Amino acid sequence: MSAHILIIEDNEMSLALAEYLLRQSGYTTSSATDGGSGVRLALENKANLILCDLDLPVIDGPQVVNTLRTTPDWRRVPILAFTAASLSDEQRQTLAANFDGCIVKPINPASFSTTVGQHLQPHG
Amino acid sequence: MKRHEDRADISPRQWLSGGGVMGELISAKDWAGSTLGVLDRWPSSLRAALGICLALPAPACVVWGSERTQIYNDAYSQLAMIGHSAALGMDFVYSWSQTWPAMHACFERAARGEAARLEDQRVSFDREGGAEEAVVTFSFAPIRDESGNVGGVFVTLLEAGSAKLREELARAKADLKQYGNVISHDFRAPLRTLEQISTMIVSNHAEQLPPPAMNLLNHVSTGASKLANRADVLARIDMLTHLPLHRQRVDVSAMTAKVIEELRSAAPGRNIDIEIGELPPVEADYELLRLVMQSLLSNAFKFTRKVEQARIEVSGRRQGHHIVYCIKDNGVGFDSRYAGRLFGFFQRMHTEAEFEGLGTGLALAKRLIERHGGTIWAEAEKDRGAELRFTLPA
Repeated sequence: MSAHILIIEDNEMSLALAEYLLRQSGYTTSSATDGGSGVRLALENKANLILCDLDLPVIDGPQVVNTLRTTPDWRRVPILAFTAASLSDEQRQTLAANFDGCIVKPINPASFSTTVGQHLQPHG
Repeated sequence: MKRHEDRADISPRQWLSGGGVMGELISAKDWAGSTLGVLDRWPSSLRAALGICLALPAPACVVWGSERTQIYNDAYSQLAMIGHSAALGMDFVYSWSQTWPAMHACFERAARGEAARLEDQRVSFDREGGAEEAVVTFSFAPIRDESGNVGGVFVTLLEAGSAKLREELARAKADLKQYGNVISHDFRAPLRTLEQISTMIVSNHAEQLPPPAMNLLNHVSTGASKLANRADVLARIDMLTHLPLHRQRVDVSAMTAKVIEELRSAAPGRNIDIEIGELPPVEADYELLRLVMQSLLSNAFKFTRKVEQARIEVSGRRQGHHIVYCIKDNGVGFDSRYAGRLFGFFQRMHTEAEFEGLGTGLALAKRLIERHGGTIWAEAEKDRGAELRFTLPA
């Protein structure tokens, strides 16, 4: 079974591109455009990795991570920040403290899926 | 302060020599009809003060008599960019109507014989290329006449920052303005073309495209359209914030009633309880103030859409030298933690799905109010309505 990736991103354009590229590489994807529905979706369907924007409506990226990390299922699943290159120092610290890695937008279509795949844990 | 036309000492105009363009203009102007009377009969105290004023290589102005007749030097006319002769001999207050509310007390103190200083006033000069802002410190010193009474006030202006700093700032501003122009003008046409091409492919070749490609192409089309809309709005805002102000007495009550009527007819299904209190008239640019009112009221209409009984209150009152207007609604409000973002460009407090709009109404309102010498701020609580207040100089 191919790995499933959940993308939480409120910019519909970059969401569409990310989903397209990941599906081209054989992953299955699901998506949410705000933090609240992202958490709900994650709790309903287990994914193998989450790509999560920092600045999200309802609840923001770091809060999404904190919420998910309190549930046993999600303690060890990689969650990557999906974020613009221009970050404040404060945001960088938040990022380092909460996320397992970072994918910078605008993404490079040639390497995007491979980079995401490298963060996937070997699974059965 | 009284008239001095009875003094008959005719004297040469040496005090005007070296007075630059203004010296010549003062000399050439026919003062016979003014309260100061014929130039050669001006009291020696006034002439002495003017001699210093004209020789001073810094912006300075002598304000004389009960009618506050202003006579100024070259540097003053360059700073304020008043036409060299236009404001000469006019009421000082007329040239500084925006700043006068703040300046009034200092000026009166000097007129009573005590020097005064007014620091860091943000003033906007209407220059040819549009409004320009400067931060100016005003100093006021009494001028004693022959009788020992205060005959006038000596005013000097100091613009914040060194000449070099101001030059750098001016250059940075010019650069920014150019970037703004590029974004709002040069990006618009290519973005529209991009939108049209992608829409054309979507509508003419839909059956030849696999669904994922169609999906991506749809994003290209809506993305280009969104960006082009934003560029349109930026171009419009750029135009509006650089228009010269045409100040006139505005009947704010009538204007507000008209704006509300327009909004009501655009939303025929809505039943909104609107209460309009007393709205004092004000000196402002009618069209620009109407835009502000329209933006604030259409927000109030929009954000009360999901409330069972929508209520909007518009009120105003005089407070010192300002008039404060208030537009209050019982709509969704916003989280006050984000109030700082409220007046930025393309800032939204709600998702596009909840409430439409580009997030530029308040950004424009803020710039227009500030051009009038006023301020705007908001108070709100999430789900408990919003209150937008702005001031204009009375």
